[in-house]
Amino acid sequence: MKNKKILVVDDDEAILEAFELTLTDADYIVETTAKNGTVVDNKIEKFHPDLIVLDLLLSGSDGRNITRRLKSDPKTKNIPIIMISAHPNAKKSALEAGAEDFLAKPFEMTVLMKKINYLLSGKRK
Amino acid sequence: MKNTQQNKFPELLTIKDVSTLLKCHPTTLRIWDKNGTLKALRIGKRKTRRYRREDVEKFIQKYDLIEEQTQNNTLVEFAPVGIFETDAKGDCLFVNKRWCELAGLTPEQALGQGWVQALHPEDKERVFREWYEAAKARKEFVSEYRFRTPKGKVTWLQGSGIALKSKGKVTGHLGTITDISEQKQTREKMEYYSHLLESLSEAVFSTDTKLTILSWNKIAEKIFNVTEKEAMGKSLDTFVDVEFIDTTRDDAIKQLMTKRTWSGEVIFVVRKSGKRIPALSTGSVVQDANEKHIGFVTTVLDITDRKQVQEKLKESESRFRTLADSSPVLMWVNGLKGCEFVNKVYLEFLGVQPDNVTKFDWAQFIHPGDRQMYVDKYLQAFKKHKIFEAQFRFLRADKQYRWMKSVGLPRFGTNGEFLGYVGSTFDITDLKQAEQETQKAAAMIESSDDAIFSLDTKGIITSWNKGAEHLYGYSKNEVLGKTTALLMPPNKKDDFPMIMKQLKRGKTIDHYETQRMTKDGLILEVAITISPIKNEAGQIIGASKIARDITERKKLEQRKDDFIALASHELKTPVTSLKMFSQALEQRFKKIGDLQSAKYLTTMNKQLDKLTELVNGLLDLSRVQQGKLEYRKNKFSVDDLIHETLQNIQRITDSHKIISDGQTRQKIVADKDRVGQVLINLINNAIKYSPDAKEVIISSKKVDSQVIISVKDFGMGIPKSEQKKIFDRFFQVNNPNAKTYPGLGLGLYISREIVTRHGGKIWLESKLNKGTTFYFSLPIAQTEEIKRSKITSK
Repeated sequence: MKNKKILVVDDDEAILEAFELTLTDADYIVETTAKNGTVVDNKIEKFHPDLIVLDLLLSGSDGRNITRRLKSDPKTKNIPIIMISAHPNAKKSALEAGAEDFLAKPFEMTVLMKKINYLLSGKRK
Repeated sequence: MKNTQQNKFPELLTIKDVSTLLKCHPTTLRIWDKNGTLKALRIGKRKTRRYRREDVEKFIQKYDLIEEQTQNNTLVEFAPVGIFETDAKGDCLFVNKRWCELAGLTPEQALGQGWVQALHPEDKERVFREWYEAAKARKEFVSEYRFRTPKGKVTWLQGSGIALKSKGKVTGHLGTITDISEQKQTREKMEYYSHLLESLSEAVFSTDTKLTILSWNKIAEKIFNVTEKEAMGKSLDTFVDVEFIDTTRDDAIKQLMTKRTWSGEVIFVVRKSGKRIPALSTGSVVQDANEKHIGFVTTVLDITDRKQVQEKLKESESRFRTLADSSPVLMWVNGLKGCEFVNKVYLEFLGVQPDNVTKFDWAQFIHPGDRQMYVDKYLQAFKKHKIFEAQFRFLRADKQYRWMKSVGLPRFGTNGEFLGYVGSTFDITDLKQAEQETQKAAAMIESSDDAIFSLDTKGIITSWNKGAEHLYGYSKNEVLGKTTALLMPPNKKDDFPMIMKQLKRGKTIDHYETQRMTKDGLILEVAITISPIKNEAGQIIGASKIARDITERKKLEQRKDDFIALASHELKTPVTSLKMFSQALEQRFKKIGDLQSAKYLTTMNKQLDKLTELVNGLLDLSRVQQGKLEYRKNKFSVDDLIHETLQNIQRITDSHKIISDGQTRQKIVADKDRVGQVLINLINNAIKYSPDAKEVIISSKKVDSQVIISVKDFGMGIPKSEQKKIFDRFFQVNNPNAKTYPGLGLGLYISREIVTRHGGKIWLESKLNKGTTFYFSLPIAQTEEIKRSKITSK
C-alpha cells in the first residue's frame, strides 16, 4: 500500500508520534494533528488522505461529530475512518456515527495493519 | 298374846323393837287410825332413838284397833307398783308410797283431783278425760301416759283401774300404775333399730350358733336375690365363698365366741347366678338373759363398687407413678401439708435421694432471688385453690441454675374438698434464651436504620419498623394492610409481580438495586433483599424485606465509576503509545537483524498487554459490582470464536500448545467479546497454573439445548476445600509450597458473572497434581433465564 496517505487525529502527542513511526515504517505517508474542528477540515482539504484514524473523544470536540460531518459531506464521505478509543465499549457508538471500523486502545499493531490494509485494498464495497 | 308381849316389853324400846312390834320397816313407820287417817309418820334413821314404854303401850292400844288395816296398808304402802283408790266419782282417796315417788307428790297433794297435776302436760287433758269418762261409765280404765314430777323427771306409766263394788253398787275405784319407761325405751329402741336395719345399705341377718339363718333383712334380699322366707333355715355357708369357709370361717367363729365381735372381708356368693360379692362383714354375738351365746348377727356391706374404685384408684395411682417416673418433666404432688410425691426425674434433676420426701426442704434449691416470689405465689394460689404458675431458677445437680416453669393444678376430692396440687416443672432455659434472643432481634430490627418490613404471600405489609418509617415517610398505621406496590414508583411497577413470583418460589432476592418512592413522592435509590419466611412445615407464609437507601452510595459509586473510567482511559493512553513504539521498534530490529533487541521488545510488549489486562479487569469489576457490565448480543458461531481466540493466544504463547477438540456447529445469541473474554481468562489461567505442562486442550460440544466449552490443563490442580471459593472476588489459589502467581484474582469472578448473565453455568473438575478442567455452558436459544437476568443486571 505504498504512497497511501493516512491522517491521524488524536489529542495525545505521544500517540501521534507512535503512529507516525509505525505507519511510516509500513511505507504510508502520514499526517498527524492534535487539533480539532476546522484544523482537521483544512488538513483533509490540503492532504487528501486515503484513510483517517480518529480518536473518539478529543479534548474540546467529539470525534463522532467529526465523523458524522465528514460522512455527510460528499467530498469526504468516501474516506474510510477507523475510530480509536481507550473505552472498550465505544465501538457501538463509533459505528453508529458512521466510522468504518473501531479499535480499542491499546491495540496490536498487526490488528491495526490488517484493518488499514483491508480498508485501503478496495475489497470492501 | 297381848300380855306376853306386854311382859316382855322393856322400859325403853329401840326403833327395831317398835318395828318388830308393829311389823313394819325399821326406818319408816306410818300408822293409820281407825278412820284411816295417817297418825304416825317417819321415825327416822336413827336406830339409837328410844321410845318410852308407856308411849308405845298407848300406841299399841290404838294399834289393836287398826291392826288388820295396817297390815293391809303396809303391803299396799310398800308395793312395787303405784296404787291408788278413788271414790265413785273418781276423785283420789289414797295413793301409796310408790305412787307418790313416781308422781313426786305427797299423798295429801294427790287427794281429790290433786293427782292430775302429776300428769305430763302433753298427756294431762287426754288422761283426765279418759279417766273420768271410764269412772262415769264404770268401765275398766287402761292407758299409757307420762308423769312429770315438779322437778321435771318424766316417767312412762301404764295405768289401770277397776271399779270397786259393794252390794252391786260402785263404791269407788282401785288402780295401779306401773313404771314402763324401760319397756317403752326398749320398744322405741327396737323400733328404731328395725327401721335402722331396714334403712341400712347393709344386709343384716341373724343366725343361731350353728349358722342357721333366723332373720334376713330387705337389703340381704336385694343383694343375694333371695327372700327372707327362702333364706330362713338355710345355713349361712350356702352364701359364703368356699375358700372363706376353708380358711377363715372357723377362726372368725372362735373370735366371736371369745371376743363377741369379728369383722373382716368376706366374699359372699349368690348361688343362683354365681355372682361373687366382696363385702365388709361384721359379726356380733347374741346372748340370752343368762348371757349364754345363742346366735350371731351378721352385717354385710357390699363393697363391689368400692373395690372397683379401689382397684381403679390403685391402677391409676400406679399408672400415675409409672407415667411420672417415665416423664421427662419434673412432676410433683402436694398435699395440704406439703410435698407428697416427686417423680424420679425430679430427684435426678436435683441430684438428691431424701429418705422422706414429705419432710424434705425443696425450696432450698430455688435461686435465692426467686425463692420468696415462688413461695408467695404458691401460698396465694393455695389460699384460693387456684392454678399455680411460676417461673424460677432451680439448682440442677451440676450446680447450674436452670430456668424452670412450674404449673400446679389444684386437686379436689370427690366431695369437692381441696387436697393440694399436682404439678409439673419443666426446663425453659432454652426457651428463655430464645425469648431473649427474639427480644434482642426484635429490638435490633426496630432500632435498625435499614427499613425492615414483612409481607404476606399476597404482598401485603404485615410489619414495619422505625427505619421503614424514616425511609419511606409512612407511619406503621398508614402501611399495615396495604401492598408493597404502594412504595413503587410508576417506572418500577413491574417490580411487584416479579417480587411476588420470586417470593412464591421461595427464592431470595439478594441486593436488588432499584428505585422506591417516599410518601412525599421522592424517588430513592434503594438496595432490597427479600427472603422468604417459612413456617415450621416449610411452607412459605411471607417474606421479609430489607431496604437500604443507597442514593448516597449511588452517587459515590457514580463518582468512583467516573474516576475508574477516567483513570483507565488515562492509563491506557500512555500504554497505547508505548505499545506502538515497542512494536514498531521490534519490526525495525528484525529488519536490521538485531534479533536480540527485537526479543526484548517482544517481552516488553507482553508486559504491556498484562498491564492492559489489569486495567480492563478493574474497569470490569467496577461495572460488575454495579451491575453495569454491558452486553451487546449478536448471533455468532461458537466454533469461529474458539478458533479466533485460540489463534490470538497461541500467537503470543510459546510455552504451551493449545489444542482444539470437537465442534459445536452452533450459532448462539450472546456478547461475543464477553464470551471471548471468558475463554481468554480460562486459557490464560490454564497456562499460568500448569507451568510444567506442555498442552492446554479446548473442547466444545452441543449437549441438548446448550453448548459446553471446556479448558483442560495438566497442572497442579485445585484442592477440594478451595474449589468453592475459586469464583469469589480477589480469590487466588494459594499453595505455600509453590510459587505465587501474578494477577488480581478477578478473572474467574468476572467470568462467572458473564456466564450466568447469559443464562449459563460455570464449574470445574480438578485432581491435585493431575490438572483442572473448567467448563462453561451457554444456552443456544435465549431462554427465560436470560430475560429474567436482565432484571437484576440492569
